[in-house]
Formats: sequence, structure tokens, C-alpha cells
Amino acid sequence: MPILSLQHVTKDYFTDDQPVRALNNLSLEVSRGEFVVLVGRSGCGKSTLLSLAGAMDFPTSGTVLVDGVATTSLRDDALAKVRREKIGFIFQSFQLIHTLTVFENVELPLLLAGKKNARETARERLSWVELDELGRRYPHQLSGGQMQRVAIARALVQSPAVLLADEPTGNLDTSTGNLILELLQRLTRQQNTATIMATHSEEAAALADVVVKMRDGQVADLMRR
Amino acid sequence: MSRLLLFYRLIVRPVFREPVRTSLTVLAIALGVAVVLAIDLAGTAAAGSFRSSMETLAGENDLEIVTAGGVPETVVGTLNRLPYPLRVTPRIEDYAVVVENKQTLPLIGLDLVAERGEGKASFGFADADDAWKYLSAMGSVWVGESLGLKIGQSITLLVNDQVATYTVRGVFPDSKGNTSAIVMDISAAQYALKRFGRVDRILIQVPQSPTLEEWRRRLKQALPSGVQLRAAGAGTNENRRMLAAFRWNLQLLSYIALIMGAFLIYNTISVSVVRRRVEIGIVRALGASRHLVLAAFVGEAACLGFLGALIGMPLGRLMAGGAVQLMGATVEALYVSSRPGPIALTPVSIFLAMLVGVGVAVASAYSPAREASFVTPVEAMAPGRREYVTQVHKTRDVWIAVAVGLGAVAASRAPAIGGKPLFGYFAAFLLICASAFAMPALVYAIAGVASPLLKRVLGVEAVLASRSLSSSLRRTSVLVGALSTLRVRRKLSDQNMRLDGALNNMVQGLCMFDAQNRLLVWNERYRAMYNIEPSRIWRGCTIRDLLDARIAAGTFPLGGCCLARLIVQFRWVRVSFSSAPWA
Repeated sequence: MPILSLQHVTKDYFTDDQPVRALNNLSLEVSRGEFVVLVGRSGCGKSTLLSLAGAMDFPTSGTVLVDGVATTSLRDDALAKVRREKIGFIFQSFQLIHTLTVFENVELPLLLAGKKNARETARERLSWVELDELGRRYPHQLSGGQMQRVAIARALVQSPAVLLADEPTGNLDTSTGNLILELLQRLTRQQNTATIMATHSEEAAALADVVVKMRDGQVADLMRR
Repeated sequence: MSRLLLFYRLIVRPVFREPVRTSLTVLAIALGVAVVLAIDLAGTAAAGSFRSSMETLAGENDLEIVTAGGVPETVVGTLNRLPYPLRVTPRIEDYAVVVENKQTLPLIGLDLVAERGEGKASFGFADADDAWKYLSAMGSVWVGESLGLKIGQSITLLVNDQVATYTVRGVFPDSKGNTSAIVMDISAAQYALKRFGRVDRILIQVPQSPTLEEWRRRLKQALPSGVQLRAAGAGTNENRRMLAAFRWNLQLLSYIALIMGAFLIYNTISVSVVRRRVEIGIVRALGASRHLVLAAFVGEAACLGFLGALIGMPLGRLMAGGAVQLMGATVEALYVSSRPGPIALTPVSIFLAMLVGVGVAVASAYSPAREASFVTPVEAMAPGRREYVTQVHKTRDVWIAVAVGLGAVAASRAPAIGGKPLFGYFAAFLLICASAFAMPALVYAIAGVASPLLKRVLGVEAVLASRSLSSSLRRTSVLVGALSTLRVRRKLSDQNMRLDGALNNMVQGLCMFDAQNRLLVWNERYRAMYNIEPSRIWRGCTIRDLLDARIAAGTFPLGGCCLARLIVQFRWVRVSFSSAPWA
């Protein structure tokens, strides 16, 4: 059974009262342990797909199932619980909270879930990304690559079933970006997580199990390796 | 525990990173709480020991007779001739000013011969044999011991615009929470006040059996028309009601201080939400629900309110010391003599301060906190992708402002409830709301018109500033609305206080009507002069209503000499009367 399933999903936005179709009757299924890369031009609907897959937004029509649960049927509290327990996010601009230390940033999803031993878990996840020595630093004391690794540790801290990454190497130089991609691929395998990554990077596409080419809100091509 | 840790890290810690804004907000709340608490404590202290000196010296009585212009002395004779064992005490009541220190004291004329005969009151005759001599002398007075005078000393008093020196013939204790008074024999008081043949009140003590109602019925039959028989102390109760209204008014005015605190809380939380919008998006994306975000920001406001209340409490206690002096002076000047009691910070006062501080903070933070809870997790994914625009429906809000403004006008014209202008305060509140609703359109229009001019005169920076004003319309509107209303309200309350003070210190009774013959203002002297029931005089009542009230009180001489014509179809035509024997 796929951990994530988008069935005939359409998403419309309104700009100046004019509807803009971001996704058009799109269907996609992703299983645990798969590393899926979304490629396509800007505006083709990659980020919209990620926001729907991550229970951050609702489709205009169609169904999004996360671990068998339709997100459209859930109220805000339940939707937040899905995001907290099933989904991990990695953002292009890292999105760390600058008033919190590295430890505190990574602990955040655990505290939101009311989990105990947050510090130990955070330290373990930081060791996965080889940053457990920098736990007491603040984000502004880190390099771009280090910040993205903290973001990855935070995304994995709840051991999510689905890991969503929106252009995670977009703000990094090529060599750091490649290191991050390799890290993501390795952790996907180790944690048996379904990873969906939107990217313009050809290197990322080369590492993927599934490459989804998107055009005008639709899947133009799907290549499995 | 984890929620508390989150609250500390995400809310409390950032608050301390902005010490100036946080301090200002806490200070504003503290001042608001302090003013409300000070007025409450001072009001309680000023009224706590309130008991009219006149009533203290009156002894235990059941009924009293009053009428406008004074009760004829002959009524005393009438009552004494009745075949009932009544104790009848005529009294003269006014005020005297001690020339030496300008202190105003109640002046009470008592039938000291009768009082002495009854053995009820002791006014400290130095020598019983000389009592008659003292009483017959017009320059004899008895004073409360708090004045610090001794028997035989002189005191110069201003009574009825005449300065005269009197000799202290006795000193009576006045330590029961009352201010001192000057007591004269009734004939001396009549002479000093030029009230010959009349007394202000006649107090009556009746036997326990039959019932008071039966005594009231019997006495009423014996009394001439035009005099009012009522329960003893009704005047004091009236004073109490007036004092309560005074305190109520002050308390409500003190809440204005809270408006600034409320605005600053609103502003602080709004700024916090705007600045941390991406952060909120991140936390939402990581699994925070709307309720959690709402609770976090409301919690932030509650903490600020709590801090404000903590600082406001000792500040309020300090301010109460000054306020009680001011209020005591006003109570003395406008209502009745009293001595302020001690200022006590009770558990109830502490609870009130906390309730006011935290309550105002939470109420004012709710709207921006709710806005924060509606930040979508998508905003964390691509900040700036969806530009944040506060949804302000300008045209719709103008119509709401008109409707609310009309509501304010209607409320301002509504009569008082239980002597309290509740609708007036509600009207002020509606006015603030109407201003806030109307302001977005106004600010937007002004910014639009001014933009080209600003660009030409002050350059692109001014245009950017005006655009910034337009882009945060909601916050700007609450600021402008609150400040403008505050200013207008402050001016009005200042004027009201001054006018009330002036009117109520006048010797003459006064009432003023508008062009539609509706009552605009009146003073207490006017109401008392014609013995009008407080419930029958209100802002907006007609001349006809007032005359009806006077007829009901028996203070309109309809059966008098030459009342020409009175009212025709609610229009005042002409009234003239004269009591001269040749008229």
C-alpha cells in the first residue's frame, strides 16, 4: 500500500480574482523507501504538490491520502497531528527559528507532540547529520550547508513516514548541495522513508528512484529506475 | 511541561529580546491597572466611613418632615399639640466656613433646650446653671472636639455671607468617623441664617406601636398640605446614591486609562504576529494546531497583563493616597461632609487588579492572536509567495461605522438606568468602535490623496511611509480611532467635571433646556429646592415632566395667587405669580 497517494487532484488559486490552475487532475503514488524527485519549470506545480502531500493545503478537487487517511476529511487539529507525526519538511531557505539553538530547533516537533526525552532524540538525529557537536549554537552561527543539515535532522526527528523537500539545495553551492542530496538518499534508505523532493538539480534527478517530470500542473513523464 | 517549555522558548524569550517595546506595553497596562485600582480604593476609603454629621447629631428618629423653602415653625407646634407621645426635633441645617482656615463645616441648629431636657445629647455645658444664659446668647456655639477648641475660646465663622465671632460654649465628641460640625441653638441659627419662622427639617421619633405606616397616616392627616413626610435619613440615602453615582462615574472614567494599555497590547501582539508570520508558518508546518497558536499569543498577552497588574498594584496603592484626598475634597464640596477611612488593599482589590490587567490584555490580544492562528503552514514553504494582505473591506466597514455611530447616537439619548448613565458609557464605547471601522477608508483616502503631494514635497521616503500606513490599515485604524476618541472623551469629561462642580456649588437652583424644551443640565440644588424625586428628573425630560414632578412633590403652587396660564399643548406660554398681598 502506498504511504502517499494523490488521486485526480486539482488545485486552483485565485490571483486578482482570476483562477489559476496549479495542479490539473494529477495522480501519483509513493511507497515507503522510495526517493522521488519532482522536476519541471518554475510554476509547473511542484511546490503545490508538496503542500498538498504534506497536509498543509487542501485540493480543490480530488483526494490526498497520507498513510490511508484522506486529508480533506480532517479538521485542523487532526491535520496538524498528521503533519506532526507522519510528515517531515525540508525547506529551500532552511526555515530554522533564529531565536532557538540547534538543539531547540530540532526538539521543536517533539515538544509540539508532547514527547519526553526530546533532548536525547534531538542529539541522536543531529549525530545522523554529524552536527551533534554544534547543538548549542544558534542558526546564524552556522553555514548554509550546516543549517540545511539541521533542517534535515528536524524533519527526521519524529521518524516520519513521508519526507518532503522543496528545493533543499537551492540556496547551497554545488558541492554542499551534493552532500545534502547524498545524505537525504542515505537517510531515506536507512529510515525506510518515502522522500519526495522538488528540484531543478540534475544531480538530484540522477540519485532518484522515481523521476516525475511535471508540466502545467500535470505529470508529463514518470521514470522508475 | 513540554508545552510550557515551548511557550517559554517561542513566546517569552522573544518578548525579552525587545525590552523597550515590552516595557512600554507592561507600563501602559500597569498605569491602567493602577488608575482603576487607585480610584476604587480611594472611592471605598472616601465613602467607607461616610455618614452625614447631620445624621449623627440627629439621634434615632423614625420620620422627618421637609419642604421646599423650609418647614414653617408652626408645624412644630402642631405636632407637639397632637395627643401622641412623639419626640419632635426641629433642625436648621446649613454650612459655615471657619474664617481662620477656610474649612467648611456643617452648621446645625438644634433646639438645645429640648435636647437638654430630653437628656439625649450632651453638648458639654460648662455649668448647668449657665446653660440658659448661653442659649439665650446669639453668639454661642458648640463644636466637635476634632476642631481642637476649648470652652471659652472664640471662633470666627462665615455664615450666610456674614462674618461673626462666636464663643465656644461646649465641645462634643466627633470621633465616630465624622467630620466636625458647628452646633447652635435653633434660634441663634435662624438669626445667623435669616431664616425666621422656618426650620429645614423636623425629626420625629414615634412609639413602636402602632406601626410606622399607621403613624405616617396619622401624622399626614395633621400636617398642612405642601409638606413632605418621609422616612428619617432619606436625605442621607439620597446623598449616598449621589456619592455612589460620583464614584461610578470616576471609576468608568478611570477605565479610559486602560484603553491606552489595551491598544498597546493590541499593537504589541499585532507587531509580533506580523514579524513572526514566517515563524508561525514554520511551527504550523511542524504540527502546531490553530488552537495552539491562538493560545500562545493570548498567553503572551496574559503574561504582559499579569506583569502589568503586579506593577500596577503597588502603584495604585500609592496613587490612592493622593486620589482619596482629591475625592474627599470633592465629596465634601459637592455632597456631604465625611472623613475618609483607611485605604485597604484587600484580596478583592488584588483580584480586581489581576482581573483588569489580565482581562484587558487578553481581550485586546484576541483579534491579532486569532489572525496568527489563521496563518497557513504554506507560508513557511514559500515566504512572500503569497503576499500577506490584511483583509480590510473598506466600503463594508464604512457602512458598519455608520450603523454603529447611529447606535451610539441612540444610546447617548437613552435615559439613565438606576441613576447611572450606562447607555452614555455604551455610546462612548460604540463611538470608539465606529471610529475604528470608519478609519480604514479615511486613512486609505487621505493616503491616496496625499501620496502625490508627499512625493513632490518630501520625496520618495514620504510616499513609502504613507504606503506603509495604508498597508497596515487595521492597526493604524485602531490607533487613530482610539486616540481621537480618547482626546474627545477626555475633553468632554474635563468639561463635565468642571461644569458639574460649578453647578453643584451654586447657591441657586439651575436648570437649562434646549430649543425643544428638553432638559439639558440641572444642579442638585434645583432638585432639592423643589423636592423632586431623583427618578423624575432626567436629561431630556420636558418642562411638563418637571412640573408634573413638582406637582407630585407638592412644590408647585397651583392653588397659588395668580398663576396666569401654564402650559398649552406642551408649549410654555407665560407664568407669573406674586405672593405680595396687593397682587
